[in-house]
Amino acid sequence: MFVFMVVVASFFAGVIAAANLALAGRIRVNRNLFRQRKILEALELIDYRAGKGKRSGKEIQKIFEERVKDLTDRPVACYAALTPDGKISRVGVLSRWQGFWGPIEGIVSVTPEDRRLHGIGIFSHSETPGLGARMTEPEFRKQFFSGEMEVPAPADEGEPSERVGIDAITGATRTSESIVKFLNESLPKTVDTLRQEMPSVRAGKEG
Amino acid sequence: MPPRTLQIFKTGLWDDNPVFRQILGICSTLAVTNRLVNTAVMCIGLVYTMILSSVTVSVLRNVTPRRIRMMVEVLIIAAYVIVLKLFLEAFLPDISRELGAYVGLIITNCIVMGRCEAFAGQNRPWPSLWDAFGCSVGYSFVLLFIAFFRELLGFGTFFGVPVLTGDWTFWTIMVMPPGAFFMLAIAVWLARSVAPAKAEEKGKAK
Repeated sequence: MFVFMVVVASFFAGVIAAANLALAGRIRVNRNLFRQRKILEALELIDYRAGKGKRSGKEIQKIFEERVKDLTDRPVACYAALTPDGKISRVGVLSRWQGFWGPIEGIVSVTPEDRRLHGIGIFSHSETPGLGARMTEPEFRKQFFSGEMEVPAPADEGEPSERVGIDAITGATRTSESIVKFLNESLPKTVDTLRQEMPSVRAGKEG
Repeated sequence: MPPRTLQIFKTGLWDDNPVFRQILGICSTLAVTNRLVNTAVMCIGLVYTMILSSVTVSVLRNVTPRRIRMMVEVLIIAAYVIVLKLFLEAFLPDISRELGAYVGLIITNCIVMGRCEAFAGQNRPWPSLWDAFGCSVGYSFVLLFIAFFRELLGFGTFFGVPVLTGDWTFWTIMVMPPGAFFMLAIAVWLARSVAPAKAEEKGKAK
C-alpha cells in the first residue's frame, strides 16, 4: 500500500516537474509583461480601460523602455513616467498593503508636489473573485485616475488629518476598507518622503 | 460507437446530468459563468481533467489498494489540474488570472471525484472515458447555457462581441452572484420540465 502510494506520487510529481520546467520561462515572461502593463496603466501612459484596443506585448515593452525610468533602487521604490522630452511627469510608487485575505501588491501613481493621485494598478492579490477582486476592474479604478483625488497630508502628532474616502465595492467592505486605510495611513508618509526626494530625482534625470 | 458506450455517454450528458440532475459542481457553475470565454475555458479544463483522471483511475483500478483509493484519486486529479493551471498561465495568462482560484478548485469539483469513485473505479478504461466525456460535456453545456444569458443580459455581449446595443440597459445583476442563482434555477427548472427524471414520472403515475 505504502509502496504503491510512493510510486504513484513520484510518477505524478515527475509529470508536474516536467511541465513546470517546460513552461516556467513562458510564465515568467507573461508575469513580467502583466506587471509592465499595470505600471504603464497607472502612469497613464496607456489606457487602463484597455478592452479592444489592448496593446500587444511588444508595444508594451517598447513604451516601457522609452517612457519609464526605473527608480526602484531609491529609498522610495518607484517608476517615473517621462514626457516625450524626458521630463518626469509623475511617479508610480510600488505599494503593498494588507487586504482581506492576503497582501495586495500594486503601483500607485502620484504627482508628489501637489499630492494628486493619478492612477492605480494591481499586480497581485488574494481577494474573493467577483467581490474584492473587482478592485482590479476599470469601473472601480476610474476614481483614482485623472488627478481628482488628493492624498492627505500625514497626520501631525495627535492631530488627525482630513481623510480621503472612496466609492467602495458592494459586498467587499473589508477590501475597500483596506484600500482606504492604505490611502490615509501609509501612502501620505510615502508621498511626504517622495516630496523631499523629488528635487534630487529630477536633478538626477536632468543633470 | 457501440450501443453501450453511446448509452454511457448519453447517461452522463442528459439522463444523469451532473448539474441539473445531481446538482453537483455548483460552486463553479455559479462562479465562472459571467463571461462565455471564461466558461468555455473552464469547461475545456474540466473535460480534459475528467477524461484523463477517469482513464488513469480505471487503468490503475486493479492494482490500487481499496483502502487508499481516494487518496490516489485525489493525487491523480490534482496532478492533471496543476498541469492545466501551468498551461493556462503560460498560454492564456489573462483568462488564467480571471479564473483565479477556480482552476485549482477543479480538484475539489465533486463531479470529477464522483465519476472516479462511482464509475472509473469499477470499469474498464474505454467505458470510463465515455462516462467522463458524457458527464463533463453535460456539465459544460449547462454552464455555457447559463453563461450565454448572463453575458448577453449583463454585458450585452456574446463572447465579448457587443450584440445588444442602442437603448439596451444592462442587467448588472446578471453578472453578479445573484444572477447566477437565478439562471441556474431556471436551467434546472427547464431541463426537468422538458425531461422529468424517471423516478418523478413514476411518482406522478401513482
